[in-house]
Amino acid sequence: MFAIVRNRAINALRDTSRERAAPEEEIVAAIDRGNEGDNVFDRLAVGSALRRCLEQLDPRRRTGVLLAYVEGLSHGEIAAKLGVPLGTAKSWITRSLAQLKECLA
Amino acid sequence: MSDRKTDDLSAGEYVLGLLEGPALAEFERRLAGDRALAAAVARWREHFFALDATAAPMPASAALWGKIETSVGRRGVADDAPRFRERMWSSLGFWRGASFAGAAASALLAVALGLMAGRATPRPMIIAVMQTGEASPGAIVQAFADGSLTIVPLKDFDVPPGLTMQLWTLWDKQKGPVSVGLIDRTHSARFERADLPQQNDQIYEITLEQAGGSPTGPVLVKGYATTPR
Repeated sequence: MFAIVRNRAINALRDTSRERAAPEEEIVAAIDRGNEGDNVFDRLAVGSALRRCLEQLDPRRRTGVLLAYVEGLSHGEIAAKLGVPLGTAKSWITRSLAQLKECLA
Repeated sequence: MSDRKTDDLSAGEYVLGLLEGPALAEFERRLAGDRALAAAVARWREHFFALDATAAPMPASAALWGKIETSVGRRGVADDAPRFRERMWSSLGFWRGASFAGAAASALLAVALGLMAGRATPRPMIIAVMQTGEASPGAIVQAFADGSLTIVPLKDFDVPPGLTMQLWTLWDKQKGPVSVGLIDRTHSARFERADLPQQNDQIYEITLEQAGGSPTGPVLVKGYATTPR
């Protein structure tokens, strides 16, 4: 259920954002909220496996992973937000996933 | 890198929502028939679920509930509910507002979808229009597959003080009438009675009772159940 909702939400969000630019107030609201990904990371239970493993990632790479999951950003959007080339963002995510997988196994 | 390892990383990207376009379509096509891949996706979802669980529950505003109720109530109007749902899916504001489409939004949608799956598109197994002695419609009973029954009064009943309205159903003359429950004079009511049968020509009636084990009071309305076409 969660997974279905989240995938459809992300797709809906992406489809919509391609069709129109976000109104100014939404952009402002998004800036005000700061980086939701990092906020969520801070709220993860201390000692939880996911937190422990995310902590082992380089902070910027961790933010990349969290931006994808939490804010539903695409590779391109993550690259822009982290200020790195698209290819770098992609390989950061892939390597982070490999690292997480090993840590969570 | 082995294929299995590549698959597992793709599964991770899929769960992160990073697969797009043809890659996403191809992944989902494979996912439908590949158990190992499905298991990899499930594992990643479990891992990342901790993030969803950090979301604070977000109470739905009165306005949103109003919309949900309206769309549920208007299910007969074919176009209305889909349009509401479409608006909800496609509204950037809604999803940005729901912040990260995590537990809060999911819970809300679970409720909305629950309503849509259950009450929004309820297909009554049987409906009985109960009529008064003057053959005017007095109340409607609908019985659903989940065992719930709803009763909607269509008129105000005159209930003397100390008496109460009781809904009965009869499907077996040998067994006699079985009480469904007590009803308020003017309000709709809902009963959970999975133990009762739901069959064509089953009789429903409302009587005025002191409160007792068998219907002894006057019959107010009565009707036969029929299966909706």
